[in-house]
Amino acid sequence: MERQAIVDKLKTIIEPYVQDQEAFKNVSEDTDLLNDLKVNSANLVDIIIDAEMAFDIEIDDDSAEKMLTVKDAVEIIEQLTNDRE
Amino acid sequence: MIGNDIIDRQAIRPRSPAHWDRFREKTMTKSEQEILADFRKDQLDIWLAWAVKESVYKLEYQFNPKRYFTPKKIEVQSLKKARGKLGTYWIDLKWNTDYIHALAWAASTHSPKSMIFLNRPIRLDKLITSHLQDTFPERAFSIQKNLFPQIQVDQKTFWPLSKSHHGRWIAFAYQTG
Repeated sequence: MERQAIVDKLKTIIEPYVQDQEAFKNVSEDTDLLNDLKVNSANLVDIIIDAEMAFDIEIDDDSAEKMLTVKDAVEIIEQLTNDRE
Repeated sequence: MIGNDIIDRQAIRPRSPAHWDRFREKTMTKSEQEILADFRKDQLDIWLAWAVKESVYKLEYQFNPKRYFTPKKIEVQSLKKARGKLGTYWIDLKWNTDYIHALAWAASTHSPKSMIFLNRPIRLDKLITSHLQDTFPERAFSIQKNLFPQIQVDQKTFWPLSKSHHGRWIAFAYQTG
């Protein structure tokens, strides 16, 4: 799956949980999900579950631990989707 | 040191039963699922465990201010006890249909006090200092914000403080020494 397609799809997954909409308008790969977008930590679990469904992957605890920025999440999803293909 | 966490139960987004099953698997160990098996209605088990984990995380962050996101590394051992990365802590859990509140403190330290409020159009720090001045009228307090919040009692005395906010609810907890 193309990286940009992953980024776009991930943004639609994250958006409902974002509490700082201004920060979301300027979202980049360096954006921190908790600190910049003010996603709360329980919603980070929701995002991981939604991403698993959307990309048909399973994100294990070790990978989830590393998902702090948009870039982290994209790289983990990219790796898992590539492994599947 | 202490940590506290409040969850507004009305602010939890409705999701499918399958989502909550997955959420439970991702955040709770098998042992926690057994300990909290009687509280599965309306996903109360998930949120009791989550509030405990957050309160322990906040407590331990003061000793080791390094962010991590591994909910299962903090484990509920009973409704009164939890194990974190650095130790085991006493837990005080309160819940009703509106909120869940968890308070964690190290076994060797004073039992903390906590206050829970419906959100008010007043800064939390102001609410905390008013409460302290009502409770201890002979003293003057200020809230210090460094890496983590503390109540300054005098030049050398600081009391541990923990603040929490979710949806309509705010809470704070402190230890007197």
